[in-house]
Amino acid sequence: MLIRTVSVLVLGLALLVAQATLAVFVPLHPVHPNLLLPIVISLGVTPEIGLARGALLAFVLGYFVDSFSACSLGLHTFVFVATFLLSRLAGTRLFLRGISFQIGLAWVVAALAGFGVSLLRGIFEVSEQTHRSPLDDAGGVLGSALLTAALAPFVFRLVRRIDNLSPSAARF
Amino acid sequence: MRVQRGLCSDDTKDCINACLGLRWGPKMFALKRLRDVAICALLLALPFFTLRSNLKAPENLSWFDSLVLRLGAPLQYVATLSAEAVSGAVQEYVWLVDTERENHALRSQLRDLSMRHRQLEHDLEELPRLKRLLALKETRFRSGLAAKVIGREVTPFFRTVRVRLDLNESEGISAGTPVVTSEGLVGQIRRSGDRFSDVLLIADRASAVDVVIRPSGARGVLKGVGASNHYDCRVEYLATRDTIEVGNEVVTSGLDQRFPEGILVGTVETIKTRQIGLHQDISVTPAVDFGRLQEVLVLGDFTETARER
Repeated sequence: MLIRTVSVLVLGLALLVAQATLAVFVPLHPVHPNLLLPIVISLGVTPEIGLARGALLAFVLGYFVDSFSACSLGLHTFVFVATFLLSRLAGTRLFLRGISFQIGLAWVVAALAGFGVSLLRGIFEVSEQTHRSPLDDAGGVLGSALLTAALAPFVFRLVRRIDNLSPSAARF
Repeated sequence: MRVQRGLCSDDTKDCINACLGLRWGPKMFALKRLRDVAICALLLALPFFTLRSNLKAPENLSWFDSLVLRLGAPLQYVATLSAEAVSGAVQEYVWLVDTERENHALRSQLRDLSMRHRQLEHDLEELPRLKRLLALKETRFRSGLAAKVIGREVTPFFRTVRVRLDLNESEGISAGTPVVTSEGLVGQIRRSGDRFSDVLLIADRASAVDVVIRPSGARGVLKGVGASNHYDCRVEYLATRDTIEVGNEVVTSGLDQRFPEGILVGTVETIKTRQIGLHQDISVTPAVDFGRLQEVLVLGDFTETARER
């Protein structure tokens, strides 16, 4: 269990690095994929993962994003935990219906997460220069969500591979 | 009591308990659920309050915000350090990739610039020669046609014995046409082909030029020695009464109806008076270094095409 948990975190870190490298070579500002979000969604829709453990993993992954992207500490951490809980609510039925449903779910959740980040910024940002309403970022958020959703099946597959690392443990 | 190994696909506490025959009662489930909800609430509250405290203006911080910041500071410090280390390594890698690409681009640019530099150096070397050739054409030989040396035949001692020019028969080049440079006489066209013309140098054994030695005015026939290790020529059968000194200039006389008068051929190198008879032989060093020939002027009547060139 510990190995698989660490593997998920290492995968998250690797995807974060890949994401940062991709941003250097393919500047698509303000659209940028969030490759860690599909991991959180995947954790959320896998019922074998306990609520507490999934939330903790989402917390750590969000903390990674905050630390790496120089965001205000807690921004993505909060959003990732919330995304995990949202995905848990969405359940697995929709998720298991195929790749198009996976992409659709990823897009919706990623968009909600993006708006969540914008909303939190809107609420807490004190600087008027950086203060923006969530609607100002709508284009970027939806575009980023689309890109995240497009890459999500690939991340889901990686998570599934980690899931199958040990033959004695088919799931988390 | 032993755990029945192999029955479980997961070694979680639940599974162990199941194997041990322990059953979760409704109370245990409720407690577990409560624990999970509490953890989730904590994991949501923790970043929320951290975010709130982080983004608040320093003057508006409450005691709770200060406490959150104080508790979170060491963790944040460690996380920032780790993130900086990882992102630094990645950034370095990305820079290395960029450096590699830049290196390739710079190498390519350097090659291009080196090539251009060599071309410019070559042009710079060529320029004074062409200027002299042009001056020669404008001042003396208006009917001259500039030609480039495109080939040469050398001896084992690196002496040029034959030179090939980029002029052909269609341009009016014919055998016997004089070839000169700004330094002096080179020789004459030996043969003219479809693509090029060969020059018979004055140092060739087959060459003969009617010359005059200045300032004495002595006249003779300059013949090539055809040596493989030097370019020297000879003027034979000069009368001993002609006062000739080493260093005197040898120029064309124009009397052979082939070479125009007054073209410098060379300078007297040695004088050899024959023991018996009335003649003296002199050795002449050609004014032109045939080994360094690049461009020449071919004198004669040429076709319109050749003149346009």
